[in-house]
Amino acid sequence: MERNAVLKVCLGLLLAVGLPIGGALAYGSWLTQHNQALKDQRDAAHALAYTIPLGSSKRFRPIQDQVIALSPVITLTIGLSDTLRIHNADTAPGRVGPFKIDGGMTYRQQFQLPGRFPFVCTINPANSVTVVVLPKK
Amino acid sequence: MAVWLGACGQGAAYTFQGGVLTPAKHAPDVSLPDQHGQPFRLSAQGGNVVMLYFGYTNCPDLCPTTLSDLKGVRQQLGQDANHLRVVMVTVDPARDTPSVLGQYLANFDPSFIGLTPLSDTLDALKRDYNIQAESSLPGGKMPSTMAMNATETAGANAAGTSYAVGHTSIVYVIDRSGQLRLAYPTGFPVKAMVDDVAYLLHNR
Repeated sequence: MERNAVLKVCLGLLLAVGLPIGGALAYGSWLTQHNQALKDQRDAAHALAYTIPLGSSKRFRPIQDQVIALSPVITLTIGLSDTLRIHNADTAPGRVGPFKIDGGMTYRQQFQLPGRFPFVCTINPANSVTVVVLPKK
Repeated sequence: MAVWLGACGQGAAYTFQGGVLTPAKHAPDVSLPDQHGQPFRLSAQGGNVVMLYFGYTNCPDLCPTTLSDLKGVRQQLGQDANHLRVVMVTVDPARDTPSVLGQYLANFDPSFIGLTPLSDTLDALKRDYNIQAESSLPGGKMPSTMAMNATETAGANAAGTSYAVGHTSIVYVIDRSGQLRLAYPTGFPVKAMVDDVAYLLHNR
């Protein structure tokens, strides 16, 4: 009889403590995933995404070959489409903006102020690209 | 419990506001004497976040703007600034001797570190960090340190020093483990840089 009482108390304690902790853990995990999903959605909605296709580095030689992975002028708008995302699906590295982007890497840049931003861009025949960021409409 | 739940909420992934390369890669090393003649090695800055900039002291606009912003970043970071190193590598070593660079940087923040590379080292760093720098001299060539010294010795420095340098103006951020994590174009909001750097200082 006493053993049953002890078991009931233990079970009660387990439920009283375990359930809130488990719930809090589950909620925390859900909240993290939810916030990340919201950020991903925002990122996708506001990003201009370019992929450097496989074989681009070879096709740009000679330079007369007019295969252009990136437009020489990219126009973005604050608050509407203000993020540039470049993924290199080629095997050779490309130099875009501040980074050398190796194959498989992704460069993401959000612009917060309007202006003209000239970048080095070795995957463009002109060897450069200008990002024009327009003010919020 | 509420506090704990709040902490869980803060565990949501932070989105950097600067330019991000993923996956991150190791920052190319920079190893040069600073303006005081003390050795500086980027790869030996473990535990500190480094903001690395390429510019020159005669720059009329981009460099002063950027350095003022970086001064603002340090000020807004408060105590965290003790673990931030701001480093400027000159793209004009012919004119920016360690002494000149040191005096220039001290006008912004005496903690700023100035590095004057020789031409060969500068060329390698420009390749490593995707930096372009061309002088307004014919052909865009930069005067070499030796040639400039020879010119000055000959007393004909006025003609030799009259040039501007068009250069990429980007601040790189290297995290505490030496990874090249972020890049900011000149004019990026100071508050955004402060948030990013503070995150890197407090999170691995």
